[in-house]
Formats: sequence, C-alpha cells, structure tokens
Amino acid sequence: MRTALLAAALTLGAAAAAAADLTATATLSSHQLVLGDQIVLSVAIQGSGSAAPKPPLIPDVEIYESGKSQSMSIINGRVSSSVVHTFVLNPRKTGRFVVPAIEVPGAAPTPPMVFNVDAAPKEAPPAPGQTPAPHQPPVPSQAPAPAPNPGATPDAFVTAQLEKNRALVNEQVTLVVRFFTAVPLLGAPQYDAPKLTGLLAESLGAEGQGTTVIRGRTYNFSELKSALFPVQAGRAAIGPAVVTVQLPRRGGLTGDDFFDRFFNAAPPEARRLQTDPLTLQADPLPPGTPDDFSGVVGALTVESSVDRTQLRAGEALTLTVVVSGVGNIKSLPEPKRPDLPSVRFFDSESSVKLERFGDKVGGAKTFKTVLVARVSGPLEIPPLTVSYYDPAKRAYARAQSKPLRLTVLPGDPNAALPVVGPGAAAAPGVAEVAADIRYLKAPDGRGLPAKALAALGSFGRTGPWHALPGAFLLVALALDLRRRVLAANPRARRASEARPAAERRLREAEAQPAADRARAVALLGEALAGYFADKLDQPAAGLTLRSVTAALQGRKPAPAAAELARLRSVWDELDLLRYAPGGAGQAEVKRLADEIRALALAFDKELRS
Amino acid sequence: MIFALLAAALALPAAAAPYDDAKAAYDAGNYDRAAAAFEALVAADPGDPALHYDLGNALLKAGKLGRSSASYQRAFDLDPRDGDGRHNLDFVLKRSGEELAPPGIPAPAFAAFTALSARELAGLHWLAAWAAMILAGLSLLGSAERREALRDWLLGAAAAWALFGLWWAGLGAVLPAGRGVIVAGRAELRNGPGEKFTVGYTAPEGRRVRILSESGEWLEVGLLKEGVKGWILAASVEKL
Repeated sequence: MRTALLAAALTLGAAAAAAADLTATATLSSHQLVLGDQIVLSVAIQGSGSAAPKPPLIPDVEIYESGKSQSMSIINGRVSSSVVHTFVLNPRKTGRFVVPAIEVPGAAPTPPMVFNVDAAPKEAPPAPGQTPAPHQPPVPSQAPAPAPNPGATPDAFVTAQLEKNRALVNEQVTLVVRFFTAVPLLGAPQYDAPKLTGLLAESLGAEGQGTTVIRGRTYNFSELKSALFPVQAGRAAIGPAVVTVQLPRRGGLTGDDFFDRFFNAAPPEARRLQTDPLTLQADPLPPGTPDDFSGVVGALTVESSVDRTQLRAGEALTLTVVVSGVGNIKSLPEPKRPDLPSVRFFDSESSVKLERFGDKVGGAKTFKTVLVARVSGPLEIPPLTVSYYDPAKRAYARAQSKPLRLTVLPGDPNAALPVVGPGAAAAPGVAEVAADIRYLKAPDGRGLPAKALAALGSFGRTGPWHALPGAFLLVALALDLRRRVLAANPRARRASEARPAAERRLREAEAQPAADRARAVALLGEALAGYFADKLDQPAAGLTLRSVTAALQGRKPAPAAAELARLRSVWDELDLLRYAPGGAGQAEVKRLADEIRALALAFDKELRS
Repeated sequence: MIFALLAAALALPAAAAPYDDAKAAYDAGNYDRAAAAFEALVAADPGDPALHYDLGNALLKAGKLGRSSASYQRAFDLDPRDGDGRHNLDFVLKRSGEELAPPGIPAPAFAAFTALSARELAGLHWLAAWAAMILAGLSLLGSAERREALRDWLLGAAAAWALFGLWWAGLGAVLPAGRGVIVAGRAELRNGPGEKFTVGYTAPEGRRVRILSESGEWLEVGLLKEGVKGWILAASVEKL
C-alpha cells in the first residue's frame, strides 16, 4: 500500500493541476562550452496548474527533450506543482547562440539566454614513450548513506546510492533512491527528485520493493532507479532526494485497545527525509575521437533501408536509418550522410524509442530522410557509420550499415520536379551533378608556343653560358673606358698610338718594291722618328738622335743604356742608308724594320713606367 | 644552342603504344596498372606535363591522394597554363584542405601570376639579360650614331630583364623550390628529428610542404598554408 502510494506520488503528472497560476523560469547548465559538449536547459514551472513548455527552436542546435521531474503538494484542496522540464541542447557548430523566450501557456515567457560554443581544445599529444592515460577503472560503488541516527533505528529514512562515483562523459551511471519505513504511513509521501547539475537523467522507474531487517527492525522499502549521463567533464552534482511523509507520533499508536488508540491518537508528524548530496566525477573521453563519433558511451548498431530499390531520376525515396543500442540514445546525432553528388538530400526527421535493458537504458533512434536521385544509373548508398565508445573494451568502436544498391531509371523529361521541402524546385539551366577530375590528356599535346617556351626554359638552365654576355659587356666597358681616357688626354692618346702608327709605316716600307729603296728607307726613318715624336709628344719634323736621347735620358727613370745604344745604332744606320739608299736590299729593309719593331716594343715598356 | 634546344623540345616522342596500354587500363578501371604504366612513361619522358597529369589521374583513382597531388603539381610546374591540369590540381588540393590560389589572392590574379612557369620565366629572364648585355656592349663599342640607333632596343631589353627577373623571383617566393607533398595519411609532424620528440601537428595526405632541412630519415618541413613547421619521416613526403 505504502509502496503504491509512493509510486503514485512519483508518477503523478501535472494533469491533476487546476487553474493556471504559473511562473516559468529557464536556466542553462552552462553558458560556455566547447563543441561536442552538451548543455542542459531546464524550464521550471511553478504554481498550480498544468502546462508544458514548447521546445525552443535554435538554428544549428539539436534539441532533445530529456524528461521532467516534478514535485506536488495539495494544501487545502489546491494542487501546487513544481515541474522541471529538461532539454538537451547539442550545438552543431561554434559560435554564439541565443535561447529564445520559452512560452509556457498561462505564464510569462522566460527571458532569452545566451551561450557560447568554442572549438574543442587541441588534444595534447602524449609524451614520447608514454601511452595516453586510459580511462580510470571503475571504483567500488559508493556505500549507501547510513540510516540517520544509527544509535536508535529511525521509523523512516531515505538513501541515495550511485552505481559508481567516476564515469566518462555520457556514460550511464545508475542512481538508486531507496525509501525505508518501519511504521505505517499516514498519507501519501511526497517525493522531490534530486536536483542534477551537469547530468541528464532517464527514469528507470519504480523498480524494487520488499522487506529487510536493519539492526533487528523490520523495514519495508521501495526503490527508484534513474540512469544519469554526465554532460561534460568535471564534477557533476546530485542534490538531496527528499521524501516528505506523515508519520505517527511515537507512542500514539502503541495501545492495543481500539478506543484508546482512537481517542488518544496524536496528530501525525510531518517528517522531511532527505539524502546526502552526491558527486560524480566525469572524465573526458580518451583522445583519438573518430570523425563520426556520436558521443554515445555504450554499444550501437546501425541499419539502413529504403522504401524502394528502383526509381526514376527526379523521383524521391525515403532512406530510413535506425541506430539502436545501449547508451544515451536521445542525444544521438544523425549519422553523417554519404557524399553522393548525384543525390539530393533533404532534412531528416527523427524519432526516439527508449527501452530498458536491465539497469541500462537504451533504445532506437530512427532518422528518415527524403532523397532525390539527380541522374540515372546504378546508385549505391555506401555504409553509414556511427562511432561510439565501448566502455567494456575501453576503446572506440564503429557500427556501420550495409550498403544499399538502387537502380535509377531515366527520368521523365516532362515530369514536374518533385516538391519536397523548401526550395526543392531547381532553377533551369546547366546544373553541376558531381565534381571530379578531368580525363586523360594525350602526351605532348601542347601547341608550338608552349613548346617554344619549354625550350626557352631549357635555355634558362644552361648555367655557366650565361656568363658570356656579361664577359662581353665587361670587355666593351673596358674598351670604352680606355677610349674615354684617351680622348680626355691627347698626349697619352698620341703616345698610345705611337707603336701602331710606326707599325703601319714599317709595313709600308716592307711593301715597297725593290726599285724604290729610297722610299722604303724614308719610311723606316719616319717610323722610327715618328714613334719617338709620338711618345715624347714632340713634332716629328726636325727630331734628331741627340734631341731624342736627351729627352729620354731626362725621364725618370731613364731608359736602360743598352736600349739607348740600340737606338743610336739603328738611327745611325738609317742615316747612312738615307744618304746611300741603294745599299739597302730587301733583306736589309726587313731586318731594320724588325729592329725598329723590337725597339718600339722595348721602349713601350721603358716609357710606360 | 637555342635552336638546338628548340629542336630537341619539338622532337616527337615515340611512345604511342605504351600510352595506349596505360589509357586502356585506365578506361577499364584498372587504376593500379594504369598508374604503373604511366609511371614508366613519365620516367622515359619526365618533361612532358601531360604524362604527369595522366599519372596523377591514375594515382587519384587508385586512392593515392598524396602521390597524385605530387604528379599534378609537377604537371602544373611544367605547363601552368593547362586548364585541365589546374582543375585537377585544385581538386586534389581541396581534398587535403588547400586551394591552388593562396588565401587572400583572387583566383584570376593567381592564374595570371602563374601563367608562365618558373622555368619559362628563367628562360625569358636570361634571354632578356643576354639581349640587354650584348646590346649594351655593342653600344659601348660603337659610334655615337650606333648608340642612338640601339638605345630603344637596349631600354626594351633592360625593362624585359627587370620584369621577368622580378616575376621569376616572385614566383619563387609563392612556389618555392624544395617543395614536397605528404603521401602518408594523417602524417605526424614532430618537434625534432626522431620518435622521441613530441608530435606538434598532424597533417593530411596531399598537403604541400616546403622542405627546410634533412637529418637522416627525417625532413624538416613547413606547411605552406599554415606557416607551421615540424619534422616528418622522409618516407612520408614525396619531393617535387
């Protein structure tokens, strides 16, 4: 009877409420989270009446209804309830999100709230030689809260016990609340579920009831189990579970006589029993999260099916994907759609069916997606995958469906486009169906300009040959510099051109015919005198051996005496021939020309310094 | 010499039959065999961008993203004006999180900037340099009349020399020498040349890197897009 009353109190809904006199408040479990974490939106409705909030619509955030907890009291026939509706928000991207005002019939809308989602921090790589820290092994379950006042056994008490006090994010931990009583209850007990921070809860229902003996006293007990799922890493808090009961005062019901009990009965004693608060340490999942990780810690299977395997291009079909297993199925995201350019996908609709597997909660989540084949031909929908963390194996695992093979027949060109969802009508014109690489290219298929440029590229890699124009330019620069220097100094220019001028005369002399010896000798004399006139910057006319030697000896340093002696010898010999030119044969002219060349070469060196 | 190089470049290859075999394997979907056949063709004529392009196609279809990216990059380096080559290179780069045009540079501007390959720019640069230096030498050696006649030609050659030289240098900064492509999936970039150093970054297959130094079996590489660097096993990188 008492158990039935307790169960009735625990499952009593807000339907019993009367007139609406409500206040609604909304709170978020956190205003800052990282992508991949979940956030809990709690909407508390207080007052007499029955109302349920509408789940808010937030773009790019998946929202699941996680259930509700309630407490209720009836005072002077007026029903007063406090109901907390819980929603799980699962952001799909980073950014700033606004939870809009939540409307509750009969209550003022809640003010909008804001939360921010940051990118998940980069996993720090393990140190060399160090393996990543594995998940902590489960520790022994937390001992049940001792009965209050252990010295004297109480008439009633309540305990709360966690299956374990350390778990991974999104791993189920079972909370068991037990209510013990050794005396008959006067009225229905009122149960206030513990306030949860950082946890999602799924009720496993009023599970057990029975009788037990504690310190020699017989108690009846009822227990209520809940599956808790940590939302994010860190410490999660389970507040006290409260049971308010009406107990008979001690001694008030001890008489054996009915009248004694009737007339001397004391008024019942309202007793508020509560458990100690509990904490649960939620550890982050190990590194190496797969790309298609669903966030579920448990075990999953995936099945996919289509409503038909043959259709025409442009027609729609329904793809059904069922993900089932053990774990927090409610917050399971849709498996990643395959990259099929020839198929257009529309938004999915999902439904959840929860089941209980012993103390574990699970079920199936079904995603139905309408898709339209764009082009004809065989179409294979590849396996859909969902990864999860298997706590038994302490490793990530992947479930995948079988591939689906369809046949898409050519579409009716006159058929209207299927109208499925918003913006289904495609604009006329060329539509890209699939991006892919372009086809093969025949070798050496380039045009002549390209080949010429390629040859030019080879010219650019000829290396040392590129020094040639530079060398040519340097020579030209040197010659130009010399020319400029000489142009600026006529004396130096005359001196520099002395030997070429003498050489011209010498060649002319050597070329004279045998009959014209006088002309040859005269040219030899002009070559010698002209050379020294140019070198000494003096007029050639009237230049004598004496004036030449004097001028040469006046230079510092003076030419070598041997060279001067050679000069005198050649000069004198030419003077003699000048007056007797017939004595100079062809060989003599040649010899003298060579002598003058040698002299010019020698004095070029002597006079340079 | 220029004519000899030009004649050599214009010579037609005699590899039609092996190419047909490679193409037939590709068309039949036997991509591994096609890749091996194209690889042999590339080894015989490494200067033909079309063969690198075809090899990239076969490797990509065979599931070797990184090696196909390297082949496309070689084809692009040889013939950057080929639209198909640019398309396929951009296709594989996007698969590894990159794009052909660097971030912030409009695609048309990058296409214009890379209209000439580094080799072609080097050739044009040196051709203009030869012309400018020879014309300058002739001007110096010639008379005043000749200098006047050559002046405009000399200025034009010098301007072309400067233009192609700067262009060549700019292209070298954007597509530097000593590049490579990551050919291993989810390659690890460590903070030193050895397993004992921690992993600083992971990089996807097909990502282009610049090789900064070598130490044994390890290469120090910089990721061109992100500007980060690290050490990677040399076997994980295909040098370009």
